[in-house]
Formats: sequence, structure tokens, C-alpha cells
Amino acid sequence: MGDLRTTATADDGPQRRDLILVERAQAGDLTAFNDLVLCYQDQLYGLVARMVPDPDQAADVVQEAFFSAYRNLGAFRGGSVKSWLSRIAINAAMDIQRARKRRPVQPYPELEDDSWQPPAGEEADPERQVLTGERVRVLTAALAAIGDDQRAAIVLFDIEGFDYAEIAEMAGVSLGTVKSRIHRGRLALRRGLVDRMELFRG
Amino acid sequence: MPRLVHTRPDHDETLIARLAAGDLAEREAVEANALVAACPACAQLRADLRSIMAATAGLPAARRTRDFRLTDADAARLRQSGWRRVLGRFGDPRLAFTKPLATGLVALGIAGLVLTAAPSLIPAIGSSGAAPAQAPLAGAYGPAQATAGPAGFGSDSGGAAPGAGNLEPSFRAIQSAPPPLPAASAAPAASSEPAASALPAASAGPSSAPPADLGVGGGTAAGSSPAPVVEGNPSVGKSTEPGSEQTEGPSALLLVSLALLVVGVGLFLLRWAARRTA
Repeated sequence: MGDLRTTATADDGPQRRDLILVERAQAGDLTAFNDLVLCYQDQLYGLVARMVPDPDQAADVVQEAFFSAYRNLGAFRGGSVKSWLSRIAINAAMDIQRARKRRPVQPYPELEDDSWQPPAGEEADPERQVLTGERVRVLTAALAAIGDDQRAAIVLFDIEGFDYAEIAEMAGVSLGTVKSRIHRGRLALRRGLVDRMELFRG
Repeated sequence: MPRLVHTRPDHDETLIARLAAGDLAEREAVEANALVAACPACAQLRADLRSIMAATAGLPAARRTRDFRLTDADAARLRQSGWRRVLGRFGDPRLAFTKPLATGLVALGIAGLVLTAAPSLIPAIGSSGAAPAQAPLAGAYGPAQATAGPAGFGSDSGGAAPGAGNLEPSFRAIQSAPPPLPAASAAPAASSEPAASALPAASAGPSSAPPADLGVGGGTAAGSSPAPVVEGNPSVGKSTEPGSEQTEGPSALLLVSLALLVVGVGLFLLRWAARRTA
């Protein structure tokens, strides 16, 4: 196997670090793999939680994604470790979503969960906090209601900050398809929020 | 409460969405900006989409509820060994060509099977197509044979009409096996065939299958198999052996087609299993 580090640019610190960890993990160093887990578990959980609304299921998906990554360390051919892990997590989340559609359960449990509270900002007053919480609730619900592909594209682009090319590579589709999914997804979101748009204006 | 104003149906919402995302080339952007300037609903749509983009980007991250680090036991369980490693190779992106290969093999296999089956289907279609041509003749015999049928069933020597003589073995074939071949039949080859065609003819019913039908049934049987019997081996005794038609082995095309099909399906299954284990 070639040196994975050659695929990273010199000024890409996290990428170099990731590739070194992957190489060590490929050589059988579990600690190195767990270092990667520590680096990305928050980000992957945040990503999957947008795709799989049930927190327990989302956690299972992330765990499965890391298991899968460990099993397939040998198949990693360089490039962005973050993209590679995200792709595995997205695929696992999509599988769960497909299974959920075949066997529907409670549509969006945390919307019914009163214990959930939006994160408090430093200058947040109670009124603003309520408004922010309501905005998060309706937007999350609208996001859950659009198509899986569109949601994945929007989450990866708007929330996770991947660019079009990275998403295209992850999803195995063309750049145009990614753009189309994002634009149509946003239009679908707006249709879903038609009665609550005042929350987002101004 | 400000209500959503719908854009005009002829206004391209996707164009506005692309404008809001800044994805338009210069020329398209000029067109989209002109649209937004002229259409308040389009301007509202652009503003709403930008608000949604900002709100989506600002969604709080969900808080992780567990630690996903792997234990030594997890690692030992997940480490690929033996057949899993071999299987895992089929999921390797470098072996992506196996998918179109498997598709091609399955397609070839199915095509081969169809080609193999076609010759045996075409005579069957031909014979069923010939039946209507015989039908008027059958109709002409119809009433007389309908009454002659049961009468022939009782009598041992159906000497009156050849058709009636052919009916008898049909019924005997139902009653007991093996049926005695009628001695009164005209030709040896023909005399051997009613036994083979007896069941289909008889299953249609004696009144609904007049002698003309039996003749067609005999013709079908003669069309499908007896020609080699008559030409290749004139001995009637051998031609009436029950397993004489099955001595021919399957054709090479059939075998090759089956092999291609099995290999193709096998490749599909391997890829599927590799993805499952991954």
C-alpha cells in the first residue's frame, strides 16, 4: 500500500493527522483508530441525527458507521478521511431511513420530547430563546419531511459545510445532481414552512 | 401575518433558488435579477430561501449520547479473517467492473435460454395455430363422432371409422396403463402415436375432441418427436419405448446459457454479500 500522506497537501494539518492515524490503524493500532473516532464522533453524530430523527437509532447508526470504517480500513485509498467517514455514515443513515419507510415508527420522536431545549446563547433572553426553539422545531420537522436525497445534500452543504464536489463524490452522483437536490430541497423546505415563514423573516 | 405570495407559474423557481444560492453564471444572473426586480413574489421567494439557508446553517448540533470508541473486543470481532476477507474483495471499488460483467453474463444466459426454448415453442405455436384449420373438418364430423365416441368406448373393434378406432386407445390410456395398441390402425407409426397423444386428446373430453382433433393431436406428436423414430429407426417396437425421447441430452447452448446465468447470478450474490459484510 502506498503512503497515504502523499495525498494530503503540506498545509492541510488535520488531513495529515488523519492520514497518519489511518495508516497506524491499518497496521493494527486500535488506539490510532479510536483517536480518529474522537476527532469525528461529534461531527458524525450531528450529521446522522439530521438524517435519522430518533437519537438512539442515530447513535446506533454512528456506531455501525465506525464499525464499518474499521472493517474497511484496507479499502481506504487516500483523500479526505472526513469525507470517507461521512460517506459511510450517510450510507448507513440512508439504509436505516429506507428500513424505516418499510416499517414506519413514530415519525419524529424528539418533537414530542419536552425535555429537549434549544442551546442557550450568551445574550439570549427568554423570548428570543422561545423563538429560536420554535424556529429549530419547525425547521427540523420540515427538513425531516423532504426527500432523503435532498435532505442529505442540504445537511452536508448547509450544516456540515462540504462543498458541491465533495458531496457529489460522497453520494456518487454528478455535480449538477447535487446542486439540483439542494435547490429543490430548499424549495421543498419553503413549501413545508409555508405557514411558519414569519419565524424566519426579518 | 405576512402570507406567502406564490410566484407566477411561468416563473422559474429553480432559477430563483440558484440565484439565492449564488450558483448562476453571469448571463443567467442578469436574467434572474431582472425577474426578481419585476416580480415581487420572486423577490419574496429569494428572500425566504436565503432566510432558510441561514436558519439551516444555524441549526444546533445534536448532542452525542454515547462514546463510539471501539473496545478490544469490538476490534477482535470486526477484524476480517478468512472468508470475510475474500468476500470483502468483491466490494473493493477496483472490482466495480464485476457489476456490469455480472449483468452481461445474466443477460447472455437468459438470451441463450430463450434461444434454446424457442425451437420447442415455435412448433407448439404452429400446431395450435393449425388446430383452427382442422376445426371445420372437426365440425363436419362433430355430431356424428360425439355419438360415435361413447359407442366406440363400449366396443372393442372400432372398424367403422378410422377416427373411432383412434378414439379407443385414448380412453384406454385413461383407464389403464399401458394401453393395448389398436391393431386396426392404418400405419405402424400412426398406430404407435395415439398412445402418446392419448392423454391430451382424452383430457379434452370425448365429445369435445372428435376424431379430427385426435388427428391433430397425433400430428403434433408426430411433428415434435416421431419423425426421427420413423426415419432413424423403423422398428415400431423401439419407437414406443417410453424413454426414447429422453435419451437426447441437453443442447450445448442450453448448458452454456445455464452456466453463464449461474456465474452471473453468483457474481451478483458475491457483490451483495460483500456489501452486507462491509
